[in-house]
Amino acid sequence: MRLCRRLTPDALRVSAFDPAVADLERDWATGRRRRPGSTGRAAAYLSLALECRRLDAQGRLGQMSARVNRESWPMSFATDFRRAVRVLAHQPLFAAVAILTLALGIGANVAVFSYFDTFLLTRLPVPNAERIVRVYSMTPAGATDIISYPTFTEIQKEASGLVLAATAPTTVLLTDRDVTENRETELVTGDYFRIMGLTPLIGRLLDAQDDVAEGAHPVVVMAESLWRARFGSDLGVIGRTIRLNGHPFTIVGVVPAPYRGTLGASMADLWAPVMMQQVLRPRGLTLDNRGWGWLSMVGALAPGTRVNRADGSLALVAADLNRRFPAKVPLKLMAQPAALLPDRERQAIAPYLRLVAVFTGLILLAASANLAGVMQTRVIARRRETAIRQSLGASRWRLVSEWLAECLVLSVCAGLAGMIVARGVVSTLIRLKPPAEVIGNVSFDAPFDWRVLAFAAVTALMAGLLFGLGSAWRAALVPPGAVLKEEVGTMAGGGRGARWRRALVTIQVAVSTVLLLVAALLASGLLRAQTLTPGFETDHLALVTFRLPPSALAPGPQMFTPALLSAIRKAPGVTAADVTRSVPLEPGQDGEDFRIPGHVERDGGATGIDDAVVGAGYFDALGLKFVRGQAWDPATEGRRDKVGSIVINETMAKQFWDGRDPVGSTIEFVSNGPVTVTGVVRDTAYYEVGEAPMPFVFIPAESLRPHGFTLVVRTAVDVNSMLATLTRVANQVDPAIVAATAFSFTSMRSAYLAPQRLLVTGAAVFGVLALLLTGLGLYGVVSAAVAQRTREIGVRMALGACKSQVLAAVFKDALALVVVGTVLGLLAGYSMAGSLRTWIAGVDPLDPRLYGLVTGLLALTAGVAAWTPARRAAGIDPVTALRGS
Amino acid sequence: MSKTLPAVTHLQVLVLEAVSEGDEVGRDLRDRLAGRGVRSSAPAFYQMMARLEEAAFVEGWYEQRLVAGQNVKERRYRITRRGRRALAETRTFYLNRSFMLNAAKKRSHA
Repeated sequence: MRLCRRLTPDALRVSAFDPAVADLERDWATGRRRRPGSTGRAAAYLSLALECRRLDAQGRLGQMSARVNRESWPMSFATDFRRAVRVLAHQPLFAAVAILTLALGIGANVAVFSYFDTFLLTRLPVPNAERIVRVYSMTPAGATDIISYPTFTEIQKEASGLVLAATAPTTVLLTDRDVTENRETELVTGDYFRIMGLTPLIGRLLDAQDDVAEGAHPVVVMAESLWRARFGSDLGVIGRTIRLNGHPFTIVGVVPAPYRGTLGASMADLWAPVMMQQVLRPRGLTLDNRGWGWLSMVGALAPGTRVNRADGSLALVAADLNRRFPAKVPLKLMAQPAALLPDRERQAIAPYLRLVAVFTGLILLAASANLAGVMQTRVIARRRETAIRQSLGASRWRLVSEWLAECLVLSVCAGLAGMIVARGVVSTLIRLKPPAEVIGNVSFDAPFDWRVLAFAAVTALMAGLLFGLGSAWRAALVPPGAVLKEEVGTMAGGGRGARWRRALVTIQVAVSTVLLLVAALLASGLLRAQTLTPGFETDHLALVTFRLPPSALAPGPQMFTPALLSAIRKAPGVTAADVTRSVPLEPGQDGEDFRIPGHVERDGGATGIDDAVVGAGYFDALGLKFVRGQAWDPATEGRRDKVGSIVINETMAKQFWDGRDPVGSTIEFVSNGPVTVTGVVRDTAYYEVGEAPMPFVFIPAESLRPHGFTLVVRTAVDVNSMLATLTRVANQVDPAIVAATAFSFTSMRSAYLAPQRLLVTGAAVFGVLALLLTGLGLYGVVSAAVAQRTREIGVRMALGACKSQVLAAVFKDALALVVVGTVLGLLAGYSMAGSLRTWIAGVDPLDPRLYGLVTGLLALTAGVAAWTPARRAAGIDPVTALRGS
Repeated sequence: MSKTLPAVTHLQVLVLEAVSEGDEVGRDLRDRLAGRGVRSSAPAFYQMMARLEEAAFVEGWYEQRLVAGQNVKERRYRITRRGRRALAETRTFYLNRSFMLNAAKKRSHA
């Protein structure tokens, strides 16, 4: 209290401060105000003292301050804004650099958020959006959304409170006037369009009349974009016949844009009845197969029904179904408000977005810290002006609001520029999208809606406050007397300001260290993933997928592949070829249960082992060497109805046979029967290069007869020149067989690595950006320090310090700044490094070379940034410096 | 009738009026002013009171009292003769003003 009393101006100490304190104490004693703790009391006294100071200043400055304070709040803020715009317009270079710096930070964040918004928040673009739900069947592992058609019809019949429809994705070959192309198609049940509440652009949409008998409804509706692009917006398209997978279909209507189905990121061009699945999604199975899960469910809640009520009714239906059709894993159903993407895709995308959001957040932090440093320098440069204004009666809040106005003007401009940057980022990403034949019809567009705009506004304001508040506060704290008395030559600001700026630079150094380290780790991981061989030669390898005529899918001993295979093997330039159901190094695992004699799982059940269904020639085509035994005999396997032999890999032989020769031994293939091991092949990578070796089984395609397969072709010449030949050869064998896609293995690999490459590029761009900002920040701090120490350096030189000593002192100063930030950044980067493995398998979180590289880069930046100020310091003339100005 | 403007401001009139009925504690005076819509911080209020004291319109002193078992100090004020005169003068000034204004209004209506 005594201290506060001393803080009070003499004139008011007895007359105002003392009675006010007495009142305060009386209030506490009478319980009118709660008696606060000692800190609260100190704060109360302090606020009285400050109020007295304010009154005193007001009284002394009279008219002017009275006028300033009487101005209403919005009016004064408007004045501040006008002033800020004028000030910034006078310094266009500073304004442009500041806006650009911040715009990059804001733009990156807005771009990430727009993806976040599109992928995770946006609803389906339909009139009933808020009532549409996706119904998932839950498994212990999480939501999966596939069920069989009979199960769907039961659920649809019994569920109350919502109308359900089933859908399934497929890719069909659309042939119209001799042009054939792949089109994403959604197979739907009769209520689908009614649920969405869509009305046709022309013609009609699919409804209950197209959902009666299997195979009896060859009708199709198309998306507006396809109608405009492919059919030239022809109104006469209704009733026309096109061929889908070679079968005639009648176009009955056009679905208005922007609706593109419920398939998620992959956009549907066509919608056809589920009843036509045998033709459009050929698997050789009929709809009444209860064991074949392939449909997803969407539904519309009845008006007034909540999601949790629908959930309740679905639980009852599931319980009833579980009673009637007991299954190994009981059915559990759950409804969720339908976002544009299904849950599965959202969960796949979310971690990517989160990582990138961390990058962009850090960049914004670095940009804000940089600007805060620059603003700090401006505060110092304008101390005199501030001090004069303050002694003329401008209140502290007034000064704060002026500085804030300046920062907010900058951040609003940066927010607008950031929107442009964000749009640029999105359109760059659209251009960088992997080819459609590899990833399908996936949209990379992220349109801006109100949420994105709101996010941009909030980000800009937050950034403005972030870099503005510190400098505004410091501007207000300038003690007018001290500044006005201050001599020229020590204008660079007090010790506290310097400390604050050093802290800001440390933040920037830490941020750029994290970003650079992450970029380096990811890049080295990606490099390793690209250079490591998967265990087989990837050059001269072509992958061709075919669409088979339904005749080829009829069950029976005769498969069409022998004819196709022998034709392809005979084609010029082909050295080996065979089929596989799963392409190596492609995401997606397959597994089967086996019982191996002498090996019992801990739970007593069968052993699950990953497998690939391949032809006998696959090993030759891929170049897989046999360690023991050989492949099965394709002719014998082809005559069987069940699988008779398998090939295993080295790891499996080691793990389950313990050094004995597995060739010739028999194991039980649970869903099939006993099978004999005919050979052991060398280990290769199956899903990802660099993965840990795992047991693996190859199952003969000849006896399993997979639906939908890929032909692996080893060629003697360049793959790309072969692709056309391969397609032609296939067509010659059977015109109904059409090659759906054909590309080289290396192009597929690079397309699958595209997201990782994008991540690495992003991290690298952000890292370099942060480094640049750090360099600028360092330069600012070091040159301010040199300016501040001009006299000191002059004295030292006069006393005999040589130039090299001065240079060394400045560099040491700059390096000291970098050391703390780098150590912090390396620690933070290391803590993130482990999780980077999720994205790129080859990441080694402890690679000392990368840590050294990043540290070296930072040190180099510090050196470059300190070079000019150091030279300036070394060039100081002691006489001039000591003379003062 | 005095031609010159009154010596006290409207705020001071409010205070003088409040203390004219008897001694008043500073804290309560401030509350009464707040009740009339004049809210000020404690230091601002006491600064004003100090000015009134300086002009000898009021007289102020500290008083020790036992409140809820605790000794507290409070500043009390009482109006001086000069204060009463100033208050009366101000009242008369404004009464005359309003009378003249009303008369003028009636004339113009007539």
